[in-house]
Amino acid sequence: MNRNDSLQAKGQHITKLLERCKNGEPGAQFEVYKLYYKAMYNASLRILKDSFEAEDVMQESFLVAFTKLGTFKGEVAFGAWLKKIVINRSLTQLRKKNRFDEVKLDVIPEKEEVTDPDYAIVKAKEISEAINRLKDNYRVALTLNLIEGYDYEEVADIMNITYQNSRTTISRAKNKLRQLLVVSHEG
Amino acid sequence: MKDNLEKRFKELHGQFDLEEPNIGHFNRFEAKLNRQQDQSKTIRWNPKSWKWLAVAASVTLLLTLFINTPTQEAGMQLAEVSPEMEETQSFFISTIQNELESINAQRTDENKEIIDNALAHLNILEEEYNQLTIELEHSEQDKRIIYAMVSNFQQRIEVLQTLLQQLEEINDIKSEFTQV
Repeated sequence: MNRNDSLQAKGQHITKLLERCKNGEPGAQFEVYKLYYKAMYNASLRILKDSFEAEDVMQESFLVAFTKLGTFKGEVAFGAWLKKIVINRSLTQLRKKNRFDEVKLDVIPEKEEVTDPDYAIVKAKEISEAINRLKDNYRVALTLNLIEGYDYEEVADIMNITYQNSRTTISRAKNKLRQLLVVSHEG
Repeated sequence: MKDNLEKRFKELHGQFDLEEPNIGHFNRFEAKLNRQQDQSKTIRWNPKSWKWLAVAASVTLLLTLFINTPTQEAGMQLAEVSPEMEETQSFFISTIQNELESINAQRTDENKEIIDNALAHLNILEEEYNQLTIELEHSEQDKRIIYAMVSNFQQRIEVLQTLLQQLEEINDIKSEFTQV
């Protein structure tokens, strides 16, 4: 079986499962949970940085997704559709938590010289840890752009900021991350 | 512009999902699913789908029965993980058995209450263990669940040993009194 066939088989399997979920079969819903919980949990955890909150938001997102399955038309993969729900709900939760810490743009331009060395040996775990040390809006913007793969416009849309703001935030966050990665490697 | 950082993220694509939710998330999700099922039964009564709800409800009922019945058969036992774990489990079980026998032999009207308390504690731990066997089955042998199961056995033995010690102390005090 070549890769395309197996992808197709996987797609058909999920389509069938989703049909059964629509009919409210708990067994099918649990199957879907088992297939996607890890990716969804990690996406939420990257935003919320709290394992309990991330689990709660992730599980609630599944329940919401099951009730809204009728609106899922399959233009995007189910995983991508579900992840959007997870991310939106995680951001709502993050804002609730930091009510007084609204996402704002820095006024002072950061013009530090930043080099771009080769990161070939840097592990995913190290990068994740460095990202977690960034402030909230940098962490969220960078995660959405570089890990979840949304472009500037999509990030702007998700974070409810302007396109320009999205670009600037991502670029500054990247520079900050470079500094952190350099420091952690020299230390 | 060349961007090594971005390049590295692309190389690591799909490798950032490193964390697992806390132990017990499968059970917690199942409970949420069941709760939602109950709600939809009362709120969204749709003549076209009532059959499904009946089926769903009976599945839910079966599942709950299955989970709540404290049989040793539910889920996956520690012993099924590896031969070493099988040995570990049988060691724990025989230790627990021995301690229980020795406790039962010492049972009197006076110490009945502490013994029953400890046994109630033991039952809770056993219940937790049964939940863990279900978790283990779903999680493809998550190491953390295996550790939790081993630690559950250790906790049970600790409860029994504390009880045995208390019984001994009571006996000592009693014999002191009779001597005086």
